[in-house]
Amino acid sequence: MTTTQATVAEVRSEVRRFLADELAAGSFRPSCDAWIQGHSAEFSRRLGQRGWLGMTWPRRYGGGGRSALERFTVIEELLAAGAPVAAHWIADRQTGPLLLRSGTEQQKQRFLPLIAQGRLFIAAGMSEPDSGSDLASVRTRAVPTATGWRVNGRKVWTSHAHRSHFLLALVRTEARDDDRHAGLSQLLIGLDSPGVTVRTIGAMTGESHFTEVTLDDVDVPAEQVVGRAGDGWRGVVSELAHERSGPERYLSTFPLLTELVSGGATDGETSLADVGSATARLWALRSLSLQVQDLLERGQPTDTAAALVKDLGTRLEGDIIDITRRAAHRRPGRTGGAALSELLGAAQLAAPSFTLRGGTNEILRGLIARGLEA
Amino acid sequence: MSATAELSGTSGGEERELLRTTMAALLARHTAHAPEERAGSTADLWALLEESGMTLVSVPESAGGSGGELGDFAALAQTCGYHAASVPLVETTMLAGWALAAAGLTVPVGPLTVAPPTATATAALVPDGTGLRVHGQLCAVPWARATRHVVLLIALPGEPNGVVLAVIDPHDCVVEHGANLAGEPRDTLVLPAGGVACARLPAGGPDPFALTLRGALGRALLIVGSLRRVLDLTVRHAREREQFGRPINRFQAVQQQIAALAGAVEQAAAMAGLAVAVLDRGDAGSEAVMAAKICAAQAASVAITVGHQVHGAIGFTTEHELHLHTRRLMSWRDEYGDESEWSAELGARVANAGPGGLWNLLTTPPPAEARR
Repeated sequence: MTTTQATVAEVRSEVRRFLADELAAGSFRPSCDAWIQGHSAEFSRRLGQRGWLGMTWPRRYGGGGRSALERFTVIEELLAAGAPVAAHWIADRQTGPLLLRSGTEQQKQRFLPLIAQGRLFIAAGMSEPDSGSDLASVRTRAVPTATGWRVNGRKVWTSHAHRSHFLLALVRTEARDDDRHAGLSQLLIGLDSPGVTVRTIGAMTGESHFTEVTLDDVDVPAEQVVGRAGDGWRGVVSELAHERSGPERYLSTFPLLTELVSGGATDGETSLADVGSATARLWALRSLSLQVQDLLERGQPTDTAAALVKDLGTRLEGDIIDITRRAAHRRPGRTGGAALSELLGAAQLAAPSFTLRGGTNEILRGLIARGLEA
Repeated sequence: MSATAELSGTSGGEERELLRTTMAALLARHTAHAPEERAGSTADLWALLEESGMTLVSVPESAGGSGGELGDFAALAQTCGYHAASVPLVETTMLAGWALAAAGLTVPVGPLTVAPPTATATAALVPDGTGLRVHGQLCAVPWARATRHVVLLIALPGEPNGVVLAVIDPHDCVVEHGANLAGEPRDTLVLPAGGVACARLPAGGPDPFALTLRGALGRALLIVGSLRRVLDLTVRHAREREQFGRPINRFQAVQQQIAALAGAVEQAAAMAGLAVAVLDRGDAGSEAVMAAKICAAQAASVAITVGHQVHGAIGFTTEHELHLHTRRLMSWRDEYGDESEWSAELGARVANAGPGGLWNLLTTPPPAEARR
C-alpha cells in the first residue's frame, strides 16, 4: 500500500492535536517507559475511538485499513509524548497481528473488533520462572480434553495480567526431545477462568505491572488455540520481530531527553555534544526501524535486523539517562525543575529492564552474529 | 556487499544497483592483485573510472557532468570505501564538481580536489584593483598532487553572504607532500608569489559551510563502505579461524563483539542514506549530515577496535587487507569535523530549536515517506 507524505503528515498533526488537548485536560503526564508502565483503560478507549488501535487491520474486523506507515506514525507520536499506552499495547502490537495471520475466522471476529475499540486487553504469557530468554524451555503444559485443553503451569514477568481480559500463553502441548521448538502452542486463556490466579509482583520502580499467573487445571476451549496446535513457535518468532524493532525500543526515555533539551540544562559544551550524539543515534535508529517495518510489511525475514534495532535502541535509552544525569549534575542548582527530576528518577529505576525485556541483549547479539553467517 | 543481508538493498532502484556492481567490478579487478600498493599511484585507476563514465555522476549535465542524483554517487562512494580505492572521487565529484556547477561553471575533465575550509586558515585574501587575490598556503589538501585543479571557496570577511571562488592549478604551486594515516595524499600547496585570482560568486551559489557539510557526508559515505568491508572481513575471519578446536565465531565473547560492530555499521549506513536522501530532495540537510558524520565516526571507532581484536595479530600486519581500512577509518573519522565537533553543533541546534524542536527534527520529513 502506498502512503503519501501528505497522509502521514495529516495523521501526525492529528495525533499531536489530540495529545495537546489531552495534556491540556490533564488526562496524563508525560512519563518514561509509558508503553509498559502507563496503563489507562480510559486513554486506550479514546485512542480506539479515534481509530488508532488496530489501524492496519481490515475494516471487516473493526480495523482501520490504514498503512503500516500510518500506524508507525501514530505510535511513535504517542511514545515520544510519553502517553499511557500500556493497556492495549500487547493486543495491538502482537496479538491482533498474530490472529490476523494465524487465527480462525471466528477468532478474528470475536477478538479483533474489541481490541481495536480499546475494550479488550491481552497480556503476553511467554516467560516462566525458569525460562528467561530461552522461551522454548517453557514447562506450562496443556493436555487435550473432550472440549479443548487443560492447562497447568506458571507464567511470570507478564505485564498487566491483573488488568487484562485474556492471556496469550505459550504452552507445551507435546513433549519433544528432538526439536525443542516443536510441540508448542499458543492459547488464549480468559483471565477470569476458574483456576487462574494472578498475583502482582512489585518492581523496583515502585509500581506493579509485573504479574505471576498461576494456571491450575484451567480449561481452555478448543476454539481458543491460535494457529495449529503444536505449531506455536512460528507465531512466537513472528511476534518477536514485531516486538523488537518498533519505536518503543528507542523512545522509552525520549520524554526525558525532550525535557532536558527544553529545560535549559544543556548549556555546557559537554552536554550539548551528548545531546547531539544521542540525536544522531536516535535519528539513525528511527530510519533502521522504518526499514524493518518495511521488510515486515513485505513479509521479508527480519529476525537479525529486529534484534539489531533492539540492541542499539535499548542501549541508547539507557545512555539518554546518563546524558541527562551528567547535564543536570553540572548544574545541580537548576536541574530544569520538578518534571526533569521526576522523569530522571523514574527512568533510572526502570532502566535495568530495558536490556532484558524482549530477550536479553546478550542473547540477541548471539542471534545477530549467527544471522550474519546465514 | 552488506553482511546484514536483511537490511541491504533497501535503498535505490535497479539502475543504481547496476552502477554499484559495475563500479565494484572495476575496483575489484584493479585492486585485487596488489592490495599493499593501494595507497600509492592513482592515475591508472582514475583513467579506468573516467573511461567508464564513473567520475562525474550527480554533477548536472549542464555543467559537463553525467547527471543523476546524489544517491547514485553515494553508491559509488561507498563502493570506493569498500575497496579502499585510492582515487579522489569524492573530491572530484561531490566537492569540486558540485562547487563549480553550483557556481555556474563548467567542470573540467580530470581529477579535481577542493581546499577544505580548514585548509584555508593559512591563506589570505588581498585586494587587487577591482578584484581579489588569494595568497599564502593551503594545508592538507586531499590528493592535491594527483589533481589538475584545486577549487577554493572562501567567505568574504565582513560580508555575510559574500563568497569568492578560485580555481588553482597545482602545477603553479609548490606542492609539499603530506599524508593522512592511511597514506592518502594530504598536501600543502604554497601559492605562487603573486597570489591567485578569485572571482566573486553571485548570491545563492556554493559556500564554505555547504562545502564542509558535503565533505563530511563524503567522508561518511567512504566510511560506510569501509565499515562494510571490515564487517565482512571480520565475519569471514571469525568463521575460518579456529582456536581451542572450534571456529572463533562460536565463542560468545566474539559474537558479542561482532554484533556490536554490525549494529554500529547499520546505524551509520542508515543515517548516511538518510542524509543523502534529504539532500536529494533539495533540503539543506545540515543536521542530517551532521548526524551522518557522527554515526559514521562512532562506528569507525567500533570497527577499528573490533576488527583488529577479532582478527588477532594477522590483522595488524601489512600482509592482511584490514589495515587498508582501519587506517582510512582512523583518518576519515576526523576529516571534515570529528564526532565531538559535530555533536556539539547538532546539540546546540537541538537546544535552540525549543520544545518539540528535537522531535520535529527527527520526524520532518520522515525518510520512508520520501522513499514511497
